[in-house]
Amino acid sequence: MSEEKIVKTSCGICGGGCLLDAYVKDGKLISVEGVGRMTPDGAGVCAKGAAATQFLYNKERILYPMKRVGEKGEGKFARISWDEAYDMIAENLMKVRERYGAKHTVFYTGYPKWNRPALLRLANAYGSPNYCTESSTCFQAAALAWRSVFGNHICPPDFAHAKIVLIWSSNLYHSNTPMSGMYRGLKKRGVHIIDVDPRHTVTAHDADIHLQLTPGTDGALALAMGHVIIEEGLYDKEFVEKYVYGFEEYAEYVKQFTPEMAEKITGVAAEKIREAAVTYATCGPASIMFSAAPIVHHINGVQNYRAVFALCAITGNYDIEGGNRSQPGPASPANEFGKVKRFDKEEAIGQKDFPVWFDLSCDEAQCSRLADYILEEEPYKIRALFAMGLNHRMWPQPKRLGEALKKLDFYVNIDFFLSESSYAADLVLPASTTFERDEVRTLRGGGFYYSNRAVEPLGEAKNDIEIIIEVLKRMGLHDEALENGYEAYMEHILKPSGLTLAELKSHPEGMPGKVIFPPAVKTYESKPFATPTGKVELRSVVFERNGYDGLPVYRDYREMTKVSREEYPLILNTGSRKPQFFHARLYRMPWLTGIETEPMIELHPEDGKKYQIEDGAHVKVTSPAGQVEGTAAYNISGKPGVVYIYHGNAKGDANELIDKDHLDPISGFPGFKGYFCRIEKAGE
Amino acid sequence: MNGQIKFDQEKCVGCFACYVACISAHHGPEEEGALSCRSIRKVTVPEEGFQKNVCPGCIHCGLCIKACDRGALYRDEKTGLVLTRPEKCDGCGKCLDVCPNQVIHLDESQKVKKCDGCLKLREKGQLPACVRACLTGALVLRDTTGE
Repeated sequence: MSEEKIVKTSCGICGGGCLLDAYVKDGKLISVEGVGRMTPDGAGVCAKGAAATQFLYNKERILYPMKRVGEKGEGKFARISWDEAYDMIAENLMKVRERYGAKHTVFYTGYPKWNRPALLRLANAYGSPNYCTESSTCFQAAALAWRSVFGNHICPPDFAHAKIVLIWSSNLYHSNTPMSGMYRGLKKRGVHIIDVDPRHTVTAHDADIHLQLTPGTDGALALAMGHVIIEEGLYDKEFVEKYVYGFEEYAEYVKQFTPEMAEKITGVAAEKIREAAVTYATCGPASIMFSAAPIVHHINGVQNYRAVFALCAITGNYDIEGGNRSQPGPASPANEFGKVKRFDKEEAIGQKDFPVWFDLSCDEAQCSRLADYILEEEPYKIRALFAMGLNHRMWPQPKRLGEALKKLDFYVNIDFFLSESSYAADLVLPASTTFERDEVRTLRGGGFYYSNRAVEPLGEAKNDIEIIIEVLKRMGLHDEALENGYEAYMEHILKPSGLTLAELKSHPEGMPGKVIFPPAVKTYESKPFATPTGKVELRSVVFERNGYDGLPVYRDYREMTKVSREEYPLILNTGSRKPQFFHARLYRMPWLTGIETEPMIELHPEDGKKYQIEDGAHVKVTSPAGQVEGTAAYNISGKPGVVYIYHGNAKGDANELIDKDHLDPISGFPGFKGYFCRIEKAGE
Repeated sequence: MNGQIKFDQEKCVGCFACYVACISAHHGPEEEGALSCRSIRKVTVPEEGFQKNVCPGCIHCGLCIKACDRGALYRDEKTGLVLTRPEKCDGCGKCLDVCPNQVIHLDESQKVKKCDGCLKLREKGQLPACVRACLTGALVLRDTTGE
């Protein structure tokens, strides 16, 4: 028997990418342990990481390349060789390009995210503008909201120096469990925490002020805070005068959002709104901790987040110590992430629908309406889909997308597990997990880390980027970063940092880059903001030139909707994170699904009484788009009138309840967290 | 590694990390029906409109030892832990009934299964799986040898 050894690797079970020590014995993963956490005892992992062995050795892992042998959608496959698989891809994709043109092929990636720049390079080399990702419904709308105001990439909170942290909105104990130690550290340091969340979560419970609003009313709350800050003369006059565009109009607009009026909209007491606004504006420096999805999963989401970010601008908390900073720590340059530009000489999918997405480009096409584009053949017919980790349950009305996928001439999905999302594929290929691959990781603070394979790949699994490289070569295409192989690609990532791959490999704990930029503050003093006006834009020029409101205008989805509130009296909020799940992929892990009943329909006991539903009853939730059955679970941490369901569960997918056209007209993001439903007991 | 596992319900945020780590420490990934030796309890504070889950574990109180007619549970003198002799268990379930934290269960062969303090890990100098997983400080290993 060999000894147990520790391998420096990282986690890819969710998107967080935590660094891990893997304990390995006889070539098998035994357990994992977090690295570098600020906990009193132990190194810490989350529930998902704790189940790492059941993820890696899951019986649904794809082990070999397989081609379809049944009808599309049947899910019948037969093993083939990698050679045959590569030839099939090259032949089919080149056929589409020659006969119809490159744009008729869509390149898509879900999770993981590490392969994104490489896939974008493949799409560019092929000549398709249609490179898109699951970020068409995650994070990018928040980044877009920020970019429309400040012109740059969304600036992280400077936790180390903040005296106020405004969390808007994140239940980090459950969505980002490894941040727990940091959060507790803030509390210990006496940082004042304001938490905005529709539920009294464990994170909110540890906050000093909790603003418990009705889901989706964030804009009204933020505008009311802006109202208080301006009315009481608490805004940063010097910053506003020198650096802010559209302040007058903004100030005029927020006049109507008195705390009393906002109380009616949001359900948050006017006094609490005043207290939060004054605290944020006067007890700083103050950081806003943003999140990827909760705010922008509403149909007024982008404008709502712009209203939140406006608070950072008017109080001068932008790019100062303890505020939201462009570079809060040292940084070392690296190639790839955020550096590869999308080929944009042809119209991409989503471009006509969501022009701001492209005008404030994140170098991805917007594929939120992918099912429509395939089924309705607009703006043109999509013939082939080269997908990595495509999960149809990420999207509203997933069944419809599942059907649409059957219509493609050629569809390949590369994944860890044989999921239903691959049933319509002509070809499925096995991807290796982080535990089975080597990878160069860039860390915050200018560090780099070589994430090692802890075990040999299962079956014939390969790493995503090696697959991309081979596909590129088989099609006879060229890309200077990819075509020299995977080792050379890792070297290329590191190059600007001054490090070599050999150096990094010999430092298992990771190491700082040799080229280091020190932390920065007030970068705007030397360089104008990267907006059309060169200033912070409370009134967005880009929005206006594309026909949208320039100000962060609040529109209430409850008033805008055509859905009958008599028929669907409850608000439906889907997908708020649970500690044990990650979209659809972890329902195949019994250690995690055994934790709680699923699908779980969370409702307030008052609603239970109102609709004669006992705790634990089998219930049916109906929206204008669909129906889902599950188990009722009383929960008093939300307000009456709102039902919460986690999504992605094949036994009852909350996303089937979200109408595909219920989306934010600016970002294309579905209103997952603000739709309508009714609830009743299900038949036996 | 000596000491007692201490659980602070106030600090627990219901992230389930310890709950799952416990399963993983004692079972292989193919054991799909494996259960945790920690439990999940809902704590509610109605006047605050607050609720959370917490995951208590065995406090090695020994009530189960007294409840068992067959000597399937005993206190290990060296470690102070309450451990099992599954071969003596007839699956009657009396220990389950008296357990204050509901952290004893019967395994697939209907034999008593409970927290063993992760003795095997501790012999290797590692922390018990639940303590090692906890990110909030709700679970710590407190050394009691000097007391």
